Amino acid sequence: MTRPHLFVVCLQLFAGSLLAADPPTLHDEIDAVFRSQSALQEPPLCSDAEFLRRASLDLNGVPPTADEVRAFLADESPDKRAKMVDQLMASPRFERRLVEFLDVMLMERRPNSNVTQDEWVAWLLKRVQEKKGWNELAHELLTANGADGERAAARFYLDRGSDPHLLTRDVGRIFLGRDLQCAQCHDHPLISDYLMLDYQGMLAIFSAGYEVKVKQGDKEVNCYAEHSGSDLQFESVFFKGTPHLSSARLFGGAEFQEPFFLPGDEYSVAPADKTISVPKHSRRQQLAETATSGQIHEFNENMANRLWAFMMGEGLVPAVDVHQSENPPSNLELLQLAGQRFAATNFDMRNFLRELALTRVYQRAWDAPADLMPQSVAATDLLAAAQNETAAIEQAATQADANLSAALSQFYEAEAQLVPAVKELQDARTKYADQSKKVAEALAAVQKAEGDVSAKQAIVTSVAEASGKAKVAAEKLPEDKELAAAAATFAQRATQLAAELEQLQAAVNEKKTAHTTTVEAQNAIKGEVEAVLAKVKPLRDALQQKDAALVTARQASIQTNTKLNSHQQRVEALQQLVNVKVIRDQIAAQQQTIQTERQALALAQTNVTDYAATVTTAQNNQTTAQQAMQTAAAQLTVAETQHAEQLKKVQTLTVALTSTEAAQQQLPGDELIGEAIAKLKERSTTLNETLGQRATEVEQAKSQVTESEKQLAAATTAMQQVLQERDNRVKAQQDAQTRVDGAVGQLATLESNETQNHEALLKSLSRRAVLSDLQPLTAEQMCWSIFEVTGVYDRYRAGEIAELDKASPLSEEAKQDPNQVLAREREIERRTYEKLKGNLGVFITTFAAGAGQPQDEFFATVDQALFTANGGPIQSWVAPAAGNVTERIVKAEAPELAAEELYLGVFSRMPTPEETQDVAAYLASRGEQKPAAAQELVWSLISSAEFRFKH
Amino acid sequence: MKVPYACGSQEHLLARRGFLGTVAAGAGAVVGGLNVFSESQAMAELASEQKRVVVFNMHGGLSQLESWDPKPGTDTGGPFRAIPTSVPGIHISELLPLTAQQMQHLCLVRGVNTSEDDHGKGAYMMLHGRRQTPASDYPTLGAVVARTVTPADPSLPGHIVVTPGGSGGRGNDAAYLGPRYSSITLGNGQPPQNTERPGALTPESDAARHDFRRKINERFLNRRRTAVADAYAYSYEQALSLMQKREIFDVSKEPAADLERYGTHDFGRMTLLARRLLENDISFVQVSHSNYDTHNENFNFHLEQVAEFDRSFSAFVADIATRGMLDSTLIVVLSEFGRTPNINQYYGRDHWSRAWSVVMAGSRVARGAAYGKTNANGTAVEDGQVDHANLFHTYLQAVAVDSSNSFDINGRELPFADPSSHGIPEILT
Repeated sequence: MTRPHLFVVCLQLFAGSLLAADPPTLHDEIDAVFRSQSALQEPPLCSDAEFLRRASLDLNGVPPTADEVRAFLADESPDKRAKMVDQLMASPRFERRLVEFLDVMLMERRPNSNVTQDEWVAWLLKRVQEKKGWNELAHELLTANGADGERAAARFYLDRGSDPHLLTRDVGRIFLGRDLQCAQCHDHPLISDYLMLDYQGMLAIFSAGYEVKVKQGDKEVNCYAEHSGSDLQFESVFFKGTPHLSSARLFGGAEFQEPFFLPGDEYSVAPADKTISVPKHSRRQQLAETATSGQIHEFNENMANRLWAFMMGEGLVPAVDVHQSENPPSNLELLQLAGQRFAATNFDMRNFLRELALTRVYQRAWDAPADLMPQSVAATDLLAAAQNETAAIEQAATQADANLSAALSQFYEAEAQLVPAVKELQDARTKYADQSKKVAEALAAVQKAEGDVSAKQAIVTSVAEASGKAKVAAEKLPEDKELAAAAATFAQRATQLAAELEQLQAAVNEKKTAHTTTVEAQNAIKGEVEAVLAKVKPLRDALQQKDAALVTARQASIQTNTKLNSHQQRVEALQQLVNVKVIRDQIAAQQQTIQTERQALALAQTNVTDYAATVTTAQNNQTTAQQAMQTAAAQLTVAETQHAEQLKKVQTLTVALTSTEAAQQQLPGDELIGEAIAKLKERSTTLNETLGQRATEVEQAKSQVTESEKQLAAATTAMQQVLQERDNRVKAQQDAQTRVDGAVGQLATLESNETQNHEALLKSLSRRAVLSDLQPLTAEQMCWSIFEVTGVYDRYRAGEIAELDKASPLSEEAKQDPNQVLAREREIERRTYEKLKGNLGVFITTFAAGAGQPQDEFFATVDQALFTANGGPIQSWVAPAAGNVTERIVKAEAPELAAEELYLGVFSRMPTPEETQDVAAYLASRGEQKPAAAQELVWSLISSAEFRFKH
Repeated sequence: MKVPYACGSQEHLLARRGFLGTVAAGAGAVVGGLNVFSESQAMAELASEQKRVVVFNMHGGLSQLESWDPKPGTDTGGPFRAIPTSVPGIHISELLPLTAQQMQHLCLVRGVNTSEDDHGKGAYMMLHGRRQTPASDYPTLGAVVARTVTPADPSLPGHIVVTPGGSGGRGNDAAYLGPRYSSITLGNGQPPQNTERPGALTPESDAARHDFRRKINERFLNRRRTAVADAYAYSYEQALSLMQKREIFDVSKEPAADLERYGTHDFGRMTLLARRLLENDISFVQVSHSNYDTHNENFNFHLEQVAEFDRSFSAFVADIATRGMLDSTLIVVLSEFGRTPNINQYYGRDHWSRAWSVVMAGSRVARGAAYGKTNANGTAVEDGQVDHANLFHTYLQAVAVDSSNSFDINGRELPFADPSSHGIPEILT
């Protein structure tokens, strides 16, 4: 994208295009709707190779061959994609693909208990080849009874055991896109669109059906017959005791209007053993006719949506069997358009698929857009506008819901009025039926009596004849006594018999009278029935009126709520788009924040580092003070020691002086003693002087210590302050670090939000058909695609062609006749299919969901991987064989050529230079084992996601 | 060949690739396809402790009178006696002498009344906890357990059925839970299909081709990452992981002495395999024992058949208990129904669902207990009557799963068990 694409195209543009002279094609209309509503004006289209693989998988069930890709890439005509669509649809493999689609959709891989798969597939194929519309096909399926001829059509019913509940559910899901199961016993608890009367209305149709064994050829088979319906009553488990009438109805529609028949008059073929009964009024017939009339948007949109999903990967309504307002279409207008156009073209599936294939929507690129910023910017206004619209739609929805509520209560009120009358009618019917039985019995009695009379009459006649002849004989042979006796006996018996006959005739009259009485009574009851019927009629008319109002209110409610939810999804998608820029801006701001915080952190770090010198100085000061303190203390110790020593000397001298003076008192005038005293005193003076000195020294030392203590204290206090400051600075650094970490964490969260938003946006864009989406290959596509890329299919096909050409070669003339050519192509396809179809089973058990389960959900299981990785069949199919991709790789001398064969053959595209390099490296590493290496490479591609999905 | 995603593999994936979670938020309420999106919510419903369940399915209908609820000396009792067990007061048939010695671990449920005498329907009810209805199919107990009980090893399958026949492939018994929770059937104790490297490939070339596959996938995913493509690529890694653990399924790796203890017959081998699987953290294993449908010669048949069961089952229970696994393993012995008290003219007993027995053991189930009671000759339940739905709730509750919970399948709430029924609180501790 070189410039920002804005999406400012409005609805008028689309409306304008409709007014153009030539009616627009459906694909143009679809593209116009998208253009009018898309957030990305012209999203990019996929490459030619991608388109070819996509269309080929969708329309023929297999990827294109390498040669087909080469030819398509080389074709320079501008309309080559459209031409390719037509070419693919002309192939009998398109018919096969459509049959597989219809088979899986209709039967969901249920076991074949009544109709073989071969019969069923052949029947579908015939319909597809005859280009039957979906309406015709559906009509046939819904009215089938399994009688001779078109027995296969009844498979839908018969292989579901003809169970009314299962049929209610599956006809709802498959033909109308509505799974009503949870509305069986009460209004749907989660889905407000589905009501119990919908379920009961559908059930009333299928409750009339039943299975009957009928002789066909030399065996007995199950057929699906139908009773004449009548009103059944039901109760909600939530509101016990309030009976409702379960008139037959289609989901969302009014109750079926049914003619009234007196009991005994309901059938054109009455139910009996080994007989398919046919009621005069068939609910199934009415269902089929109503549903396929083109007027039922549920029926039209269901198939349009399923065919959309067939081509686009996901339906406009994503869960194809739960159309409801909370599973809204990604584009309501488009769903309506698709449904209308599909119905208007006589439900022509081919034409519809062709139109889809020609849309630009179908050709969207799959890759994530490189840059969504410009769109994100542009989406802001759209988002605001869309949000503004929400309130109005919400209000409309609330109003519609209120209307529905009112309509529903009025309907139930009218119904409550009708219920007793219907009950009365049922009683009257029962009474009439009972009386009819009596009439029949009386009639049988008359008939029996009349039979008796005629039997007796025959005897009377023959005895009378015999009597006459015996009389004549007796007259001719008057002598014969025995003969005379016999004649008399005859005469007597004749008289007796005549009397008996008379009696029997009397009995006949009696029975006739009795019969007449019962018939009169029956007529009387008939009168009663008619009286009740007359009573019922206005009540039913009133109900039908309320029913019509209810239908209108429901359709309005469903549609408004659908619109609301669809709109909200659009708002959500726009929000995601807007979020692209919002989150990007947040990320940019966050990166700025991180930068600021990092700078703060650097500063804090510097503060810590710079302060180290101050700490050192303070530490040194403290150390110095401590050392001074230690020195002073040592000096004090020395001074004190010296002082103590001096004191000891003084004391010793004092003791000596005292004892010498005591001696002088004893020896007064002793000179020596006097001298000694004088010397001692002199000495004492000296010593005391020194002691004084020492004391002074001690004092000095003490004051030195005090001084040092003060200095140390000062140094210590200073140190503590410095340490405090250092701690503050470290803390500041740590806080800065935390802020940086937090900011980095927030960035990571934002980046993860961005990834999530991106993924969600891509999903939304895919849903809104701005991008294409991945679509897993079906089990059948997996099987045929593997056969295709490994050359197995072509080998078998070549064999069939050779055989046919030998057995019944086409003349040159025939080769010019498109019909004969098509017939031959179909025959080749059918024979190849028959030869290979035995392999489908293992793919179905491996890659398809279980029987009777929805078949459109993707799952990846270990057994699939094990089957592909280690299973015998795939290993043998990837082996080199007559001209297949593996052999072509082996034969390719240059690795570039080998890579091209590999990627064209399996992925239907050219390899990138890196991919070519990888292939070359792989082959080179295996030297002499090239065949094995080639086989491994082919396997690697087949087992990769690129092969497993359509994209 | 078919191994479903073990339960939780998607959760694993979810953890691996965090972005998936919000894809769901963006995609709205209804998410088709992979179901990965609702899984995280399912995770919250799961039990925290690793639990396991093993079901012994006594195919054809085991006679309760010749097993768990004998009535000797009555008109219906038949020829066999009742013997005392390791729990005073509880007697079972003399055909189960070894199991009688394990009674302290077991809980007999003797008041089962399922009112369904048809094989198919009875079996469906017992294994699904509900009656079969044509319009809706339910997942089997194994699928529900595989989905609700967190596996210790998400690369292993969570739901295994061991049976004498069987393909080694995936069953169709998970209904709306999808193929990931379907059973794999291990026929005759063989490992799942396709778990061996093809003979023609050397380990090196196999590794090389898988590396090449990874490289291709990585390129593809780099173009645009999607949950489905990621899940598909990841399934191959799980497959490789399973191949490495292939021996888990190989019962011959168990000591010969153990096989001797369990019995060298099929059932002994399968029961031993069940022990091996449970020890390797497989969440659910079902073992079948065939065939108890003894319309003729009921007594001779049970004499033989029950003896076989007795040996394997008693050894199994003892092993589970001594290996400390009983607290986390629920053991169930069930049938589709029991057999008539009335003995028919061929010395057989016919189908009977009015008063029969199921046995449970382990996890939260009371030990050494007998719950429910039939009358003197076993023709009616007198006390503690339960049916298939009560039992199903109880199985789940026994392994700490809230059976009143519901699955969220694309926005549809589908209850784990019949919402109109409930468990049997009396036998849960």
